[in-house]
Amino acid sequence: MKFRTVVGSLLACLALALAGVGLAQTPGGSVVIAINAEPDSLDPQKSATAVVNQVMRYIGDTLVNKDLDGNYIPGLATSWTPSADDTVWTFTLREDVTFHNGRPMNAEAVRASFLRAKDPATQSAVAAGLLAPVDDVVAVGEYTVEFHLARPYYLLIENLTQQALAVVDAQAAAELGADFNRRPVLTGPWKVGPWASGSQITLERNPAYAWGPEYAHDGAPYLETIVFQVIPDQATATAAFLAGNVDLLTVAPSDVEQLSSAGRYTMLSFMRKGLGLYMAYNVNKAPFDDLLVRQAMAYLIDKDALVAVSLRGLGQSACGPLPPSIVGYWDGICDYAASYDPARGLELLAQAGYTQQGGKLVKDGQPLAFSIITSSTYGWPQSAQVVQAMLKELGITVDVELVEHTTLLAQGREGAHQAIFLGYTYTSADILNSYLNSANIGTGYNWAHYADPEIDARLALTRGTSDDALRAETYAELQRMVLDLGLWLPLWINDNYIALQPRVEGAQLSKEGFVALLDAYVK
Amino acid sequence: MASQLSGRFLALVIVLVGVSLATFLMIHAVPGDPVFALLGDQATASDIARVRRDLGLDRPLPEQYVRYVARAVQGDLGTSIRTGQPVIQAIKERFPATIYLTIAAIFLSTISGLAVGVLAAVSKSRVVEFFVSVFPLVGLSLPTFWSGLLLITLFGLVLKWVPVVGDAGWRSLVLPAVALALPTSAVVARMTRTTMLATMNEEFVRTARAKGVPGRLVVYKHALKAALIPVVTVVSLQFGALLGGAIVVESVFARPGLGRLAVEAILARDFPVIQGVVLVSAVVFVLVNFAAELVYSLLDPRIAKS
Amino acid sequence: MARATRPAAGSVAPEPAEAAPEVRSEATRGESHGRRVRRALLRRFRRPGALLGVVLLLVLLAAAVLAPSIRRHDPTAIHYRALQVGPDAEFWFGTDDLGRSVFARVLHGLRTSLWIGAASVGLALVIGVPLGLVAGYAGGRLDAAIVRLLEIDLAFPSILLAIAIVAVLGPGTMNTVYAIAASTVPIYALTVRSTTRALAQRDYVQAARALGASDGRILLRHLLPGVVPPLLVITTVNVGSAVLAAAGLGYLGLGAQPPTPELGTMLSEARAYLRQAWWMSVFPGLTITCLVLGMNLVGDALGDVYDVRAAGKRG
Repeated sequence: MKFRTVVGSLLACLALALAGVGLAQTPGGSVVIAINAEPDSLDPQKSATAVVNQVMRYIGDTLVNKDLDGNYIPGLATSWTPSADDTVWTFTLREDVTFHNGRPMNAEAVRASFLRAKDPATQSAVAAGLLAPVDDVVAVGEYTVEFHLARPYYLLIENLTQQALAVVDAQAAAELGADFNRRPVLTGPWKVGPWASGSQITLERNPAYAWGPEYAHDGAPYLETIVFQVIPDQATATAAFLAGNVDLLTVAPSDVEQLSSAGRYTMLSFMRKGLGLYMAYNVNKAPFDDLLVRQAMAYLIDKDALVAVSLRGLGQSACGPLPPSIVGYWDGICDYAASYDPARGLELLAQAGYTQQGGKLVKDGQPLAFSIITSSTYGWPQSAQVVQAMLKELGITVDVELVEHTTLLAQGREGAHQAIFLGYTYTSADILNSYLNSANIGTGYNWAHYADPEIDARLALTRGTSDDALRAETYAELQRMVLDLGLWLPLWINDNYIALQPRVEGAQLSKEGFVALLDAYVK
Repeated sequence: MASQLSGRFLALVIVLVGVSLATFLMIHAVPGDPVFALLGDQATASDIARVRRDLGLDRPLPEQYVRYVARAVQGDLGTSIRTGQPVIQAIKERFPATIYLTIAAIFLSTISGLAVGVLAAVSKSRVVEFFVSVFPLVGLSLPTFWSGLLLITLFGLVLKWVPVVGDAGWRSLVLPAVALALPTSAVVARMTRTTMLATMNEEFVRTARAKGVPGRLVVYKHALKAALIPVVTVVSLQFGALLGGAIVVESVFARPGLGRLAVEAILARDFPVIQGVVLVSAVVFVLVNFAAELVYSLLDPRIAKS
Repeated sequence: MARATRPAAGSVAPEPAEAAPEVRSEATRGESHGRRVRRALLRRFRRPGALLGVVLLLVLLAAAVLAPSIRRHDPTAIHYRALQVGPDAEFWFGTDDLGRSVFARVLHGLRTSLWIGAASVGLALVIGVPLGLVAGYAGGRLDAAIVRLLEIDLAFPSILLAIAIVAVLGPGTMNTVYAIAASTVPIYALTVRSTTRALAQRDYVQAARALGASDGRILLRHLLPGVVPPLLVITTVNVGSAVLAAAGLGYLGLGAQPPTPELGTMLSEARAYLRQAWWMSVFPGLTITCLVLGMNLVGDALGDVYDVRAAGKRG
């Protein structure tokens, strides 16, 4: 009986596999992807929420694309070259591309799309910022456009791969008005179909699609539809995946072990492009106005224990402000950074004037105490509580204050905090500019509220130079300065996990965490 | 009777004005500049000036309020900051899901509440009495977000009777409706039991019993009928609780309703949407209660006097 | 409204409904009144449901009060070698994802939850009772104005009102208390008002007034004691619903915030581990359910004795 069941299921598997091979050639099937929030808009130039990036890659194309390893490859543009002084970039476009409405994508259309992104009336949250150094976009031929820059800007190509700069049909945008938010006209392999408010967005196959990236097969995708199912509650999303109602799930760290050990699902993982968590000190507020105290902290916190407890081991401790997954990361940083050594840390605190009194560290009658503000992103409150417990044993009192994410950012900007727990995800090392530039104190992300012309000058250099070696060395210097000055205590870099139902075949994961579905089909 | 009604109607109007005033003032109660609350922290000075002018926030408060009401009456509740969609449209899209859920929950809680309540009232067994008096209260004492997840795990995951998410018609409505109905059915059960016990001791029931009408018949014919009227009131009052409960239930079950819209709006500090949802829910609730009161006073003229 | 006590098991004829009418919520039934109430209370609380409620509440209150001496571990201490282990001799309720004793956290969470429940009900009482007394005693326009105000408050479904308030003030334990209090004030005020109205017509109040007692004295000495019994019932039930409301806000990310152990927040966090670590959610879940159940059972029994209906409770 048992033997027969096993043989039966083996045969069934074989049949399914054969059917799968046959199906791979023909379009059809549907994949359901869980997302935790509804996108505010699918107009790439207007959207301000991160969840949109999960959808945009399937419906839009950018001038420059990335392969699965993160190298630049042709997108809507087949080639690009800078002028001698690096201020004019010329792009040659593909000639076979049409928008979802059938209108041809040519130099004029590209120009209109980029000018719309820059137009203040569009109120673009992200796209306009990416194009800040771009003065003008000029159509110089039917399929040739030039980007005119105010100054050399080495990030241009990187920025052009961002989803917010997917090329839109600006004419359709003007015609459709507010409807363009929910029915955007782009050039991608799927187009936006029925949108059930608050519940589902269905993408429909674009049969005309023949301009996919090198890593995928030629021609239109196989999947007839991709359905984005909005499930705000992570526990419900996991249950929906286990019940087979969802095919692709971004897995919460708490569920990784369970889904992996089930053995039935395809588990994909990648290192986060950014720090999952760092602690930034406000250098204007006691006790962190004292460099010795900031430096001591680096010895007092056991990052490995933090990773083991609050991340359940699904990641690694962070040494500097950049992770190994971002180009510009200096690979000497882990040897350079302070390693866990409480004795050394307490020594530094003694130098700073703190003495042990009744189990507490005290200076001038004031106990060493501070509060950490953070928001309830996965792992942050957990880590804050672990740090709180670690420092309590050493006689340091830590308060943890949890606030809403927008409030957290506002407080960080105002400088109301002593220490702040945050993380980031970004595509390039230019993120350091947001965090370290003195221009970003009070208005941007300079949480340390530390102004230093030395740092500002180096940041400007990294953006302007076309010398890759010099840029790499400058980034390495900046990474060391963050530790020397004790602006941040980098804590951990988490791994992200994506689970797929076994019936989905041919999906590929890029290093940046994008699941390419162009070759995917359903068994 | 007519003056009674017009009095109630006047009260209704006053309450509606108060509700709109409270909702209007909400945005002004946010610490700091209301425009800042409206636009979030990415706003530029020119954005702020433009919005201030567009919304008439540079006018005196009473004038702003009159404009707000005038526009709201015409169905203009402003525009969502997050999506750029007119608020009224967002509400229209989400309203049906919440109404289906609420109606299903009212149906379930009334049926189960009546059944348990009657059982509790007529049962002679101490054991049965213990269970029917304690069990509904357990339903009332479970946090909805937890009972919801337990329901999902049991019926969606282990037994696979219903899909966990997605639209499968009435089958996707069952679990959230049960989760939402649990507390209300306890309230209905308690009400039914109290009223039935009281009625069974009233003169006409005792007379019927004395005349030898079988006990069961007495229960069904007289006591249950008399018990129904207050139950209608409780259910209409519970409508507000259900609208509120839908907020949690919709989040747990990933249902695209009004409650979910409110939570999304709050997390994004999308004040026009928060205002709109609060206003619409309150007005619907007030109107439902008013309608229940009308029906009630028509059914039983004695009530109108009390 | 008169109501019968439940017939004893085995008896066929319904008991005469003698207890209820005598034990109405009045402060002036002579010496025998107190004795009757006590007798009715004793009889009512001998029934299994009510008894269960009393036992639950006593056990949980004792646990909350004695928490620091019962627990073996600090609720915030992290045990690196015992991450998410099931219940054993060392950790009676197991440990959570950070290796903290769930038993210690449940005990302390119980204290926080009880504090939120008591504080929000207390605040609502402080605002609602005077409003109700004044409205019921003064009558006329003042009464009408207060009632309209309360109706406006009632028009907002309570969780929605609470989250709107949290949206304005921001999340946190104290704001949770304010939000819950704001949504429950009308329940107390309207109950007190209707009781006051009835009592104000009573002979003894009229007599006090004829003797020249001031309004303030009448309110405090003669009317306030009379509204205590119905308030007792509603308060008991509402401490339970306040605990649940706080838990709901916690789930939506708008309530009490960790590391403060609070039962609702704990339960909400533990939901992610329902299938891997059942003890993380079952113990806080059971504690919250038992607490609210106890409140409801006791409230129900008190309601039977004092003949107060808690049906107008908001959800």
